[in-house]
Amino acid sequence: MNCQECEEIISDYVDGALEPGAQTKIEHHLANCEACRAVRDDLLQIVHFSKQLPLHIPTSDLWSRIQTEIEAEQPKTWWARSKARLQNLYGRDFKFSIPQFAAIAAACIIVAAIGVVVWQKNNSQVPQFANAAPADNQLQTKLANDPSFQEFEQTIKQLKESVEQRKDTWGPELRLSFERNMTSIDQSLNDCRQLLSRNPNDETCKELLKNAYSEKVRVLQGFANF
Amino acid sequence: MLRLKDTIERCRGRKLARLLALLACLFYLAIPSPAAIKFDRTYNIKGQAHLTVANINGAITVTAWNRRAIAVSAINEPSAAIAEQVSGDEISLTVKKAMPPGKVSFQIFVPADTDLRLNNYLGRIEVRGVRGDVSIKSYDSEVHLIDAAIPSVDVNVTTGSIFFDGDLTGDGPYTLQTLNGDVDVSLPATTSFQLSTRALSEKINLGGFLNSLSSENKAPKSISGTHLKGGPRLSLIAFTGRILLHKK
Ligand SMILES: [Zn+2]
Repeated sequence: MNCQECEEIISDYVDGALEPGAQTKIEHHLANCEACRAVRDDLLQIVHFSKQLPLHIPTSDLWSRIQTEIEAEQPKTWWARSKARLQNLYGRDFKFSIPQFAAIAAACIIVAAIGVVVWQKNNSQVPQFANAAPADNQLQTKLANDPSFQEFEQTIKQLKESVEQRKDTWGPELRLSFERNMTSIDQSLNDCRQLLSRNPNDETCKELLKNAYSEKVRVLQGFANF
Repeated sequence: MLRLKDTIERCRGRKLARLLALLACLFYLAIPSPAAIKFDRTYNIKGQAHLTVANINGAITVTAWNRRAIAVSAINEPSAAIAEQVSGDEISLTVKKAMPPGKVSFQIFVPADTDLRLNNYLGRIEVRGVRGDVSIKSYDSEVHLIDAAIPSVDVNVTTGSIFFDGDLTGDGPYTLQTLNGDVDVSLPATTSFQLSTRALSEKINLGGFLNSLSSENKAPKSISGTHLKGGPRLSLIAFTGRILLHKK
């Protein structure tokens, strides 16, 4: 695989949507190509950034005030902020050549502009995932009555609180991985619940539901440990 | 879930994706990156080795060789330090937790009879030619067990496929579970085992073993039965993915 082929599928890779074969190939390329790794890492950051966008619809008045604020403030402080961030990251002072400086400046401005576009686009739409599908009440009650699942839910709730407090320190790649894992588990849990609501005597489903619950606890414990 | 592709397509299609990629390169090249650190160790082994590796982000590759020594070569980002603990033939390597955690990739050579315990959060795991007990726990990892004639195995990942190509040489148990990925197992036709499979996706393909298995239970989501004389328990669990069994 060359860089161009890598670029073609890298967004699918970041989405976790590649077939195992293609994934192996791109991982092999990424292991050997610093430039493509950088692209991947930045895409991961962008994904994370877009996920964290608030689901409020700003009025046009509010938006123009924010824009004025950004325009007024950004030239004064962005350099100081970036430098402090770099020093934080690597614990040393940097000196940049003029081309490097120009590249950073250009990149910062364009990334900021794209951020604004993404932000605007997202906020101009009605949120599609604000409400999860209504749960099966009967099954919920049944699960709540089952002492082992109640215990799972309780443990999961506690671990989630602890994870939420630490999330910001993980860095984009691990945060994305955590979210991917949680999505996998929640999908499996939902599938099990749905199948069980149709056939409450499905013993395999019951066992798989228990496995999925255990897995959720395992993942949350692992990530709460950071 | 808001996905990257949707985000990009909603904005400007592939042109924006290209622009982003270009920008990211520009950004990356503009920042002087600190050099990676190399961790190299060789531990001489007298009896049977037990190796534990706890990584966070990065690949772990373990390969069996003929020497009575464990050789570890890791490339880590400066923010990721590796703690080592050696007590006789028991060796434990742990990537210290930092904020944010740095990447470390391990390349390890071990005597074939080494017992392995590999823990990770994110990154491919490959074990080749090992004859000891293997335990692998990870969250986001594709796992490859190649030429694995091992007495027992326990692999548990949340996201990622598990590939096992080898033989069952002990009492087991042999347990492979992933929530999002395939469980793909290749065994010699002459191997005896007690099979239990569960796939929420109902995608279970026992290949050549289907006919030689005396079935105890055959449902869409679960097939179990005895192969030849029975013996060690082989338990395969998948959710969204498939369970695939191949005769070698
Ligand atoms: Zn490349």
